[in-house]
Amino acid sequence: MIFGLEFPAIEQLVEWPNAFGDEGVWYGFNKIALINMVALVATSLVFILAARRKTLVDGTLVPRGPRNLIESAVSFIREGIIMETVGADGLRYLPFLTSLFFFILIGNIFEVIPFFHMPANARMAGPAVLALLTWIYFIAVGLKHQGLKYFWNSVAPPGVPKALLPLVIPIELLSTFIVRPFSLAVRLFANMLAGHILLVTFSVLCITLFSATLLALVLPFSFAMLVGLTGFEIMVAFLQAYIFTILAAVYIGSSMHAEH
Amino acid sequence: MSILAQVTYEATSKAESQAIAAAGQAGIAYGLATLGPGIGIGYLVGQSVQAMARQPEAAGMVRTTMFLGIAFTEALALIGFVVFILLKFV
Amino acid sequence: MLATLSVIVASATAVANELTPVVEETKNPILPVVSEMFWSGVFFMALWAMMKFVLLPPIVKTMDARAQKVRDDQAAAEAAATERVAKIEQYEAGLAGARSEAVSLLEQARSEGDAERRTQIAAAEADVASLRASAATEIADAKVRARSELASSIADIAVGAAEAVVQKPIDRSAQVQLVEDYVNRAGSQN
Repeated sequence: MIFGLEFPAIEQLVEWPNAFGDEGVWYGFNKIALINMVALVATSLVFILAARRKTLVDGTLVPRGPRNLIESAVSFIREGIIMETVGADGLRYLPFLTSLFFFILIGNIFEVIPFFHMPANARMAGPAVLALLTWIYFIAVGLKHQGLKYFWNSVAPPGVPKALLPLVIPIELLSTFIVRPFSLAVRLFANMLAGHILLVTFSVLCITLFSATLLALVLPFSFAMLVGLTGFEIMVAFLQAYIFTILAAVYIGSSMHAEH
Repeated sequence: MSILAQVTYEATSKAESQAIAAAGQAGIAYGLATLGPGIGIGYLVGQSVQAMARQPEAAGMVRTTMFLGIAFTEALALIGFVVFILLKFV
Repeated sequence: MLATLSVIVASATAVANELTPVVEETKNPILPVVSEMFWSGVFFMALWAMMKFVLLPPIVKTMDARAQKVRDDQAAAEAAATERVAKIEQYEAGLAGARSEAVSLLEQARSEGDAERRTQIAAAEADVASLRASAATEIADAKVRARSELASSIADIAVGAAEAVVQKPIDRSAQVQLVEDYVNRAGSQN
């Protein structure tokens, strides 16, 4: 209770009961899982719709309809993320990065979709899993491209004086293998949770101000702020999906070649 | 901090006074955590805009690097936010 | 500060407790929940597999085909452009040859015309000269003839007149000589 505001407890904002399965079992299916399922199904549907021959103009290669959307997204990931950070060698990682982008984007965008109003990534589970997979992926890529020397190359950058190595190795070890996945997960999670709490705060404010007192004069400003923040959160949803994907691409690219 | 909290709010039990103190500290922790990244991101974006204005043909590369830099700088503020959540709600 | 530390320690113990299957009284909103991790892992893996084997290949194939077509068309356009340039060069070379040929023909024609004109003029001038010469001789002949006729007739008249005056024949040859001398003198004076 602050100034008569009934702010809900955070458990009420982000925790959802299971649709089936008891609380706490490993297969409990709740709203977050439903949003993740929608991310899978919706992405697959749009891609399948876009891949039909009908989406090309009369047997030529000119796209139309949903294919425009999908092709621009794929070429954004290809030209804007992979070519900018890894180069042409990284094009084989397109499926992983595209899945990351769409999975995170749809998980984020549910923050502003009516009747859901819950970003799936405002729970630590999704970002943690994605960061863990990215971590495994870039280590695997490093092992594939450099063999076991990858670990040495990544903790001891060439050109560092031998005397400094005892200082550099722990720092690099920490930053490459611990901070990277941790910051990936926390960045996405904290951004979405902060946005969610922000929207909830202004919604609660609007509801409280919707009364027959003088405070109702402030309501339009509060509501305008809520609308503006909704737009801002749409931008954040795209930006966080982009940042997660581009960081994954950077990490994969950095483990493909030894630094020099 | 805890003294301030005890003065401001009339604490009834030890647990409640601890929670109130933690809430105040959470606010201060997050407020401090925003300072550095705020300055950092402002400087970063300002320099990037200058770079793009000087060399518009390099704008794509500068923008990508700018987003990367923002992501790294922002992480500090977000860790502050996580600490806030930990202090406030746990 | 101490309270902060104690809270952090408490949250750390909460983390430790959450990892063990003991059910906590206050749930940490930051820690991942196993069921959500499970489902998001399953759905992400499914999306990844779909993306790799089903969803992405046709899209990328079309995009690559389009890029290839664009490249091919561009190459064809470039080839056509170079061909056009070569053709223009060829045409201009032909044009220059024709032009120089025309110029040489013109020069030749002009020089031939000049030579012809010169010979014609020379011939005409020769004709004129010969005509003039013949006319001059004719005039001279006519003059001589006229002078001799005149001399004889004047001598006849003079002799006749003298005979009429003196009533006796006068030596005609001496008079003719006299008249002729006179006429010649007069003619030379003209």
